[in-house]
Amino acid sequence: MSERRALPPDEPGARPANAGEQAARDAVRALASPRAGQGFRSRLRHEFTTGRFGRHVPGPVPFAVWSTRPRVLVPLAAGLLLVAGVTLNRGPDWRLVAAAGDGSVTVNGMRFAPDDPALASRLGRGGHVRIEGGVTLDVVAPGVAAVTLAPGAELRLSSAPGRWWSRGMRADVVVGDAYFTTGRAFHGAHLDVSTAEVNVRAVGTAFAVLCEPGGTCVCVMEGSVRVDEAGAAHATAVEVPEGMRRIVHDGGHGQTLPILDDSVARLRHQREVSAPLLGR
Amino acid sequence: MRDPDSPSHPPVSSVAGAERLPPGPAGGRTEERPAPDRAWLERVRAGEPDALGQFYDRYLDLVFGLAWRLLGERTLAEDAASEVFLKVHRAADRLDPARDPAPWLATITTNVCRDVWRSGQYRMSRRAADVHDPAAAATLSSGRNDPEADTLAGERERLVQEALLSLPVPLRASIVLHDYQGMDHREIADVLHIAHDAARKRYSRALAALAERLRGRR
Repeated sequence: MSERRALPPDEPGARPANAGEQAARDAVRALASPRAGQGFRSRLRHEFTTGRFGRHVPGPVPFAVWSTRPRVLVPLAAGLLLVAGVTLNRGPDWRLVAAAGDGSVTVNGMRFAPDDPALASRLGRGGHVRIEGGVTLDVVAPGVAAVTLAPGAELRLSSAPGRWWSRGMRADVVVGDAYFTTGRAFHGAHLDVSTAEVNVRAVGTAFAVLCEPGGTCVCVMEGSVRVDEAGAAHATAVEVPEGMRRIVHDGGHGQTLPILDDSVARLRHQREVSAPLLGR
Repeated sequence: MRDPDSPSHPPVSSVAGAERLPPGPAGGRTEERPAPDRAWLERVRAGEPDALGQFYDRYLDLVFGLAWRLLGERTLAEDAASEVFLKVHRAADRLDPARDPAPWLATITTNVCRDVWRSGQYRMSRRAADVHDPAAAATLSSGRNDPEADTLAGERERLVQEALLSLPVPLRASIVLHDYQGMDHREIADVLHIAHDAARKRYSRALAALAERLRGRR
């Protein structure tokens, strides 16, 4: 038996205004009381009396999925976008162009012969690279930058700059000579090279960092770089123009002189070797 | 104002007329039924299975029928009824044995239906009255063993239910709660969280709109 109640009396302002409305009201009042199917009645009765609603708790719950879906989908979509963004932003891997000479190359503690095919894959995202013996190593991040390590050099090389953000690239030269040339896609990025004596910032140029036991020499063949003395208490930035070199001794004393022919030759050689991949 | 989703028992003022019970078959309201026994509601509140079963038997048709008229589809009404009794079971300890639970259940049912209306699935799946469904039609039979009369009654039901479902949700709720469920405008105002005067005006608009739609369907 239904619990439909006796109809309430009409209230002023809420009465049928005409015969059509009266008929509509009567039609609604005459509507039957629908009864649930027997199977449903039994199942819900059992659930209600036992409190075990677990197996089938329908109702707005399926619909509530719609209201909860955005709460799930929005973070998920944001996560996917983030992953896609990070992936797409990633700069190119370093590619081994040439490894000539006798000796070995150690990458992140693993030693490779210059002609070992595994060397190229180990260099992909940079790392701690040490040249032993007479090997000269040329690596290029296509379109972005080329780095040449002379025999005896040791440096930590970061991955290439991102496409849209994280546009910085870094190299820490521990010892030896390293040559850098930036490519067309480097535009808008910056390259920081540090040694014990100097910090070098370049924004598109060809230069060498020669790190010797007594000091560091920064040789600029093209463009200009800013050289800071590492650990200096006051501002020591010196702009080194094209065709010049800046020597900073380990005592902090620095001087600017014309670039050495040997550095120019090596940088030109680097450019020749890497030009097809650099897009210059 | 009460939290629409909280199945706490309504104030005494909102249960006026609760003793006027219940309808007869096929929409008739022909007999009085005594107000629920307080001791029985105490047992419901305590969660005694027998009392819960009797509570369910007494009020399922109220919940299901109201949900059907508001939602227009049997499966949606079943889902809504399940949700209502789940809420009631969880809130049984808040049941006030001094008051008739019928208006309280009508409020919960309306709130659950409102959640359904807001769902995208309801808007996508909405269709006309479910009386085409043979199973549903059987539940609407008058029991007179008169197939012709049943057919005519079923057709009339279909027209009215279609017209109701074509109303905007606020208007539909207003007219169903008043003329189907028998709630007065003050109770409806409480359920729909609007002012008493607004409830009356809404009902007038609903009646005019329903009359217009029924005129177009005859």
